[in-house]
Amino acid sequence: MTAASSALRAAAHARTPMIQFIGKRAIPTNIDHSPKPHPQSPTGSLPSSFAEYRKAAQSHGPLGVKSAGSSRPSIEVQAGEYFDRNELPKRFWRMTLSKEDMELIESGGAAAWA
Amino acid sequence: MLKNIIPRASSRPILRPLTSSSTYSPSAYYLVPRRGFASETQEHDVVVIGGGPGGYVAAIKAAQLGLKTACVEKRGALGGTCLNVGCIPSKSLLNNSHLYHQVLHDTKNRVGDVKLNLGQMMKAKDTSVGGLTKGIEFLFKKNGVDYVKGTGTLTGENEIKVNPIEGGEPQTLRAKNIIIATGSEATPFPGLTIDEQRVITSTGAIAMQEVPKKMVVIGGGIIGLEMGSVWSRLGSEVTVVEYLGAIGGPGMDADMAKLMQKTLQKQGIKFKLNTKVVSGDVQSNGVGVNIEAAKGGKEETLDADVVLVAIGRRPYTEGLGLENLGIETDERGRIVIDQEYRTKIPHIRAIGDVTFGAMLAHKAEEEGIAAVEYIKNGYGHVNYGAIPSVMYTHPEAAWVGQTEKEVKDSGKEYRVGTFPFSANSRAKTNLDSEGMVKFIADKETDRILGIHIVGPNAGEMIAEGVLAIEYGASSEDIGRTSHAHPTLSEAFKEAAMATYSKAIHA
Repeated sequence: MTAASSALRAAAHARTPMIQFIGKRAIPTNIDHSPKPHPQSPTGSLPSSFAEYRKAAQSHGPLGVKSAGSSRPSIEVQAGEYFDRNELPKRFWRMTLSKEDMELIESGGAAAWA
Repeated sequence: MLKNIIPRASSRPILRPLTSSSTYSPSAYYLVPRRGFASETQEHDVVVIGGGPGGYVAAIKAAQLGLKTACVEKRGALGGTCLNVGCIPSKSLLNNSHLYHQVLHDTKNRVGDVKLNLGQMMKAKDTSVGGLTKGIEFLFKKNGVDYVKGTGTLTGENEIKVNPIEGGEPQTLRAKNIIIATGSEATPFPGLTIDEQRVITSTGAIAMQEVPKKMVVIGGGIIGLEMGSVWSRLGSEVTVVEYLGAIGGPGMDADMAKLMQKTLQKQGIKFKLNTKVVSGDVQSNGVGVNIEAAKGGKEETLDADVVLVAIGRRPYTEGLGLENLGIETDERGRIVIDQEYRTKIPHIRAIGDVTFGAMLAHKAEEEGIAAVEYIKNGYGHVNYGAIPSVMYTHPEAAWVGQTEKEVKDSGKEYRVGTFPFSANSRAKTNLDSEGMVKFIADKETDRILGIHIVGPNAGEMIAEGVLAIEYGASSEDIGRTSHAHPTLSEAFKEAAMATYSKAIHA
């Protein structure tokens, strides 16, 4: 065996470190957000309340907004299109001002101290 | 008149995103209240309840990510248990009592006697704590976090009532996301009432006005051994009573626990292992602690001026109002969460000591950042296999990853490599060479599974081990990395070399 072939063989068997540059960290594109037990959970399970809350919330609560909204047409106002606030559902109407509120506004807040 | 003040048709939308940024949320829109002058309610993207290491870090990170954030803290000072009555004050006492002990004993024949000024030592501790808590307040201001001093109670899914600690009317905060980071408190010992005078927790142990002649520590875990070390160095006769057969708690490798016990015994601390405390009798002049063998046996009484109860900590949720929303806790009082720190109500999360996992400040910090990143980006990262533990005795003990027993129990074949500090040039020249480094690696792949250190500066040295485990390094990766000479870290490299081959200096 020549010295040259020995050196080539050594190079071919060069150690590959296990520590590797893994590149810039990025947020995975597909993340499953459904609730799963926390990795440090001693039981490795979740109470049924997690699923129950979500089921109720998706039916008529905050978790339902995204899926319901995404299936509907855009709410963006088109150019030249106008509408009055009172055409919207009642919860979007202006709040009724009480007499006390009016006094507060007209006095610049001073009525609160009168 | 009113028409001039409030135009009939406003061009501003009445629905607006909670933030201008792209916050991850199933419900990104909410109604803006119109009459701010008639309500004390404040709206936030994130409200963090608890200003400890998990809470304040989460609050700062949330603000840095552009979320309108408030942090509610009832202690009157930020930093939680760690900064006010835990890690930081105990480290001040450990450092200064070590200096005192070293000068008293090692240099007795060279520079003469030294006298303890306990008041001065406590003052130095208070100065360190004060400076650091004020530092967090500064960071809150710098990052735009609203600091609310008061007791926070959950009164609705998006509502926290805050009773100010300085008196006055309760305040209501509304939040799109809530992070519970209320931490933990010392677990009391049944039959011994904590008065922080005769029967104390770690809080009392960092504030004693005189050195007790005799001290009994119930519990041989990290807190008990650290505080036992402080008062032993200052002259107290310390006896540690531990129910299990080894000190250091379940995470400490058995070899290291034995080594640590031997070292602390040489320093004068007495140990009673496999022993249970049956009862305690508190008198005006001291406490009688009745003990017997864990498996039963003859009862014995230990006399003490002070008894430190250090049997562990439990989640702190008093007054939080979890019951108002039906948020569940497990049998140990830990808030039940999923993999994204969410309780059953998805926008209410819990991090740190109040939920699963080790009760460590740095673990809580990692979770604080991850929880906020889940809110903002829908993705966060904590590697629970790479969370270090450190015991700040002298020498220090530190570890990361699995113990040898855990690896053995998993059925995996493994190699062990050790290197003693007595063969390390820097440790020898520092006259501080007790302890060793131990590596455990997979026999087939050489991947590091656990690293355990007892020795000088172990708490700093373990950082290299954490990085190695985080990146999935082999022992050879460490062994082939140059470590400066003469440093203590050469012992780390040599232990790695001993794992896949042989150490040079042993």
